[in-house]
Amino acid sequence: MARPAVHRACRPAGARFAREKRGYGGWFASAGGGAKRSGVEKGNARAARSRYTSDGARWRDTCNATAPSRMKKLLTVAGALALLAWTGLGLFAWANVGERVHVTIEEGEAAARTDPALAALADELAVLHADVRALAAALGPNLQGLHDELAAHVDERAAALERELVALKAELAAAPTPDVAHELAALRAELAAHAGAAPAEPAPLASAPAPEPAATPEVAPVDPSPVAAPPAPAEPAKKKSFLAFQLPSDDFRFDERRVWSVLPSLSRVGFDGKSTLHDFTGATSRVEGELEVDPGRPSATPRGLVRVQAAALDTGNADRDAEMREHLAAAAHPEIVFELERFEPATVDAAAQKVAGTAHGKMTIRGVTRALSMPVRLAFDEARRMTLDGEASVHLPDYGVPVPSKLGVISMEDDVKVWIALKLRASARKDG
Amino acid sequence: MDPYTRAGLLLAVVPLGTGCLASTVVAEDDRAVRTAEAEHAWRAASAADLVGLWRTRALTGAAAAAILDLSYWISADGRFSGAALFAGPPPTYQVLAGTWRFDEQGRLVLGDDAEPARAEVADGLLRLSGSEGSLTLERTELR
Repeated sequence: MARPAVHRACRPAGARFAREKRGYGGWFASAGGGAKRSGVEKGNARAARSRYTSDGARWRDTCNATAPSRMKKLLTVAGALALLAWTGLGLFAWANVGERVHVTIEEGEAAARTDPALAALADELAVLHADVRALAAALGPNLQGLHDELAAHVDERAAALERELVALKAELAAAPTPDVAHELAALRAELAAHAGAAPAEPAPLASAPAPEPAATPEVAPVDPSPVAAPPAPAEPAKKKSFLAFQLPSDDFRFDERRVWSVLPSLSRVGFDGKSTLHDFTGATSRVEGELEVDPGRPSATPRGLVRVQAAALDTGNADRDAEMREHLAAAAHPEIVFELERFEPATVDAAAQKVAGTAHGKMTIRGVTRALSMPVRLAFDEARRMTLDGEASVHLPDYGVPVPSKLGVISMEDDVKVWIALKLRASARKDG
Repeated sequence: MDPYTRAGLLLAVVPLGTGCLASTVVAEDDRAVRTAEAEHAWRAASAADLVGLWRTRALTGAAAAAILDLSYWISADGRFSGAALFAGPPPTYQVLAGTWRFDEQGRLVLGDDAEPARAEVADGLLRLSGSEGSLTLERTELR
């Protein structure tokens, strides 16, 4: 007896899935046994299925042969339904979210419209946005142009820097490093000397016990200040010496052409004569003159002139001096003059600041001028004064000077030794 | 005495007299003018010794390279004034005024920030010595 139609028609619309699940479970459970099931087991399964029919559902176990295909269709339908439902839910959600976003914007605009202050702020913000956009638009080309210009000149700039570097290296290589080092060492030595000689800081007057307190003045210390305002010396003052005056820095240079003036009080010229009676010296400090020379290059066109008062020569014997003045015709030719024409250096020691050589020039005695060469030595003292000394032999008859003689027995030699011992101070600088 | 005898005596006496007269030739090392002070009994100066007008007699050392001449008026009330002729060109005078005092070591300080100088006196002379030289002054009367 087959009753499949009845089975379909009587299926309840209510708990459909539950029943099917239970049915699937029972089917899969029974399917595990396969064709090997015995007749007793098949009978048990049929009995078990019959229990579903006992609850009133019109389920029948008579359709065992069509169950898989029905289930397949059922699953297909269910899957389609699920897909439709999922798609519908997605569409619903998309539509819903899009609507909410739209609503939110609508609400913001509405609020802006409703609040004047916010509206003004929004307008201002919009203007600022517009300005920023315009500024960005305007700056864009400028920045681009600047970038392009920098990129175009970077090579040129690098080349220029490289050239400067090469020039500096060349300058350093050509610099007289030993001189610089020497000058640096000299400066350091001078600095150390000054530091070592620096006096102790003077104590205040009140706390300074004088050797004789009774005689020590008790007045408030006052800074020494110039009473007048004389023109400053050649160099600016650097410090105050023990003399209370500020001494200018030492600007002496050995290899510099300057004019040097004879200091009469520190100079002396004379002659040594020999006679049959005894040898004697005549000398005087009545000398003046100038010397223009570069001690570092003494042969470089030096110029000099020394004048001696003939009547001032003193031999230590008044009678002899009177006779000498007559022989020199001092009244008619009051000066004995030496004019320097050239200098022939033998040694120039810049380190020791000494020069030796021969001064060539013209000597004038008693109005007669003759060439004269005098070996001389040139040096400098601690006060930066030049010392110049030398001597030369002079044949008196060459200048028309009568040689003294007494009775034909006491006589003076024709040759006298003329000597100079000059001290000169620099008075002016000369170029070259 | 016959003439021959007189001539013989003269020839004998002249060489003898020549040998007796000493040479007055100045030695080569003594040709230059010496500025060294004569020997004096120098003693430390007191305040009373300083008062008066002083003029330069000698200046040595590095200071002499810059200063040609110096004069000081030192007063008993502790004030002083000085005038210095600086080397040029052209030579230029500078003058100053201030107070003087002795420091703890008995050195003379002319002004507040000057280097202390050792002050000595002897026979109307005042000698100031410092690291940059020495200055010998002689007292001068006001005219």
